[in-house]
Amino acid sequence: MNCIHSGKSYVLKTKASQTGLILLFLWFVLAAQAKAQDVPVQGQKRIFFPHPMDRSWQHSIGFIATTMNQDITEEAHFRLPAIDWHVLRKLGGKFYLDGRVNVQVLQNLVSLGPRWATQVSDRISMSLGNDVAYWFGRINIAGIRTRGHGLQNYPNISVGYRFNKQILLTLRAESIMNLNVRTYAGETEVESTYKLFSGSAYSVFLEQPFAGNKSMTLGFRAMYTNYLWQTWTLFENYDRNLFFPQIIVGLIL
Amino acid sequence: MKHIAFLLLFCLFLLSCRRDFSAPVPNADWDLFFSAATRPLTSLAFQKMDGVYAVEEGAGAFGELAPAKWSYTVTGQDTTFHLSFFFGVDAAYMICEGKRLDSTILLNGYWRRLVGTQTGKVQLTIPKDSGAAFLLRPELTPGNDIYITGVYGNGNATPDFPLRFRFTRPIIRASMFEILAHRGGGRTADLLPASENSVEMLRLASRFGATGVEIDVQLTKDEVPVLFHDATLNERVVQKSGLLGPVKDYTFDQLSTLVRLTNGERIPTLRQALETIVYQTPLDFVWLDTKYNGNMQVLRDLQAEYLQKAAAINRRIEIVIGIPDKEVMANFKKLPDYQSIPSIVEYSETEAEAINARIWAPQWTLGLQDAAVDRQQAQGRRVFTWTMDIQKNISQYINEGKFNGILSNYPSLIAYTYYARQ
Repeated sequence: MNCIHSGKSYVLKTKASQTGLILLFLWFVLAAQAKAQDVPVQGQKRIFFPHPMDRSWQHSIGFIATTMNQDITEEAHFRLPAIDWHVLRKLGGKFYLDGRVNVQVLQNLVSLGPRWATQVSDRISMSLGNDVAYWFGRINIAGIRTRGHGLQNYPNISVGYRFNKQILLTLRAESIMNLNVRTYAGETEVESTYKLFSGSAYSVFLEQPFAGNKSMTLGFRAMYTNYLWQTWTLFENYDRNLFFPQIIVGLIL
Repeated sequence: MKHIAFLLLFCLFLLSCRRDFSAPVPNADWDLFFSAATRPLTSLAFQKMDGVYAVEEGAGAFGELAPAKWSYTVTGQDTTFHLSFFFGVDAAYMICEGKRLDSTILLNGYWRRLVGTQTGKVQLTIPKDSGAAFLLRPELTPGNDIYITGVYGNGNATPDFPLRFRFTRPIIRASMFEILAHRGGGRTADLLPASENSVEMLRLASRFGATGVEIDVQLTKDEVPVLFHDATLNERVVQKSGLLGPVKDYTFDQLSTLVRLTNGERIPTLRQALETIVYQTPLDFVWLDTKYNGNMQVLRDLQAEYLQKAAAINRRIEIVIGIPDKEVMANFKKLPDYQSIPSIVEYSETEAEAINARIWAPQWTLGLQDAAVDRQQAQGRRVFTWTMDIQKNISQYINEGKFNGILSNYPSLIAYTYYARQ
């Protein structure tokens, strides 16, 4: 019997993402050793680095690639890319809003949440935040019209470290909370099994100057969750925190 | 501060390591059960334990009802009997072997919560005055008060959480409703004690509540039908061996010698699988899901051979060839007298009629389809649906639908819902 979600099979090893994390780690270690001009964080473009905003708006555009877990997708092993638009809006003082839109056309996610950021020392900053996300999708699979939507919450904490050479490192930990999930196959409502506290995610982001006056973000996010919204069409009911790695690349405008 | 940052990075690296899940079957070490004074239970005692039980203690973990069904596995000259309890919570089940100690019945086994990884030991007893005397009598007399009491635990820890089941009524398998286990009994990803599509899994299927199985058939390079789901060898279902690529590119000898399934088993031939099902299990339905585009005569020959062998030992069993798409249908129609070959069509209702299939099997996400089901049943055709794993939808399809069978990765959940509703 075929899995309901069939797709082209790509040989992309999940473990490769962990190798990427190791390389990223080494990159930072080496970068940290470089002695160069020390630029204060206020003069640098940033989108993930947890520091009070010094401009009204900040945007970045890029993509997120999520590798699906083979316990769910079985022989079809693939990465789901999504356009990632990220925008920050200064509210005043140490507060700002963090909004994101992930677009895959057939399924999309919008999130918005406040941040409180503070500078701990000359090089270290941190933030606390809470993002509320809404996802929705409508996909025709093997002639069956499936649709779904859900509400999520992501309380998060970030710690940032400013290296020399304008390199900003951010570590973020999030709790993944699913508040509501509704999915349908045709006219049949499919019960989705999810937990309020579905798992957690741990991320590392690097931000540094790129071409012109732009900066670039490179990130890795390790998600452990028993319900990933992007798998809603599979109607799985595992109660195990499966691993979903994400690669995040963005251009800060 | 730099040190703190590096420390945080290191912590992040540790946290981002992938966790491997497992759910090993707990040790069955219960001194009393294995003492020299115990004796085997007869199949009749197991049969009389079949029934729907009220969970009087332990309902918080397992729910309020527990249908129980007996099964057997033949190994050589030995027959092992099992009593399985099915629960409506998280596809949980218990599988126990039984013995008698004087006039007391002992049930020793394990429980598993199939949607997760939780498992643990189960040790149950039925004292003489709680039904054992009735169960041990050598005649099949109708119901009696049976109270099963005992304990369950977590993992290999000594069990100490109380359990108490009370027999409420016998179970009935009306109109031969088929509880079909996917991939021979279950998926490898569900961390069962055997790999999907293995002979070992087929022996487990009836303990999970299945009355029949669906198995995936592919042809090797030398046209040996083997059980394998994926088109290619990959780490989802086989151990690392250095062999990759399509199954059809390898001979059976190469696969048998060099490849092991996730739990260490060999890839079985269809012949080995049918031999196991017919002679070693109580399964009464086999759905051969054709996963290849090629010669179907080899499949047909094995189907006919094992139907004859089953008939020769008065074993009532159905073996049907699954037709999942138009390519396989075209190959099937090349078989002589194909309209008389037992088959199951997984897509088109019209095609099921055209080849006189015994069964039409639409995907469950197409809905209850009452009108279509009525139409097919009026023509003498049964209707199965696949692959249902979600409790709420299973309840809806069993209570409101008209299907003759349901295929699931969680046959225990289908068994619970079907037996508990009667």
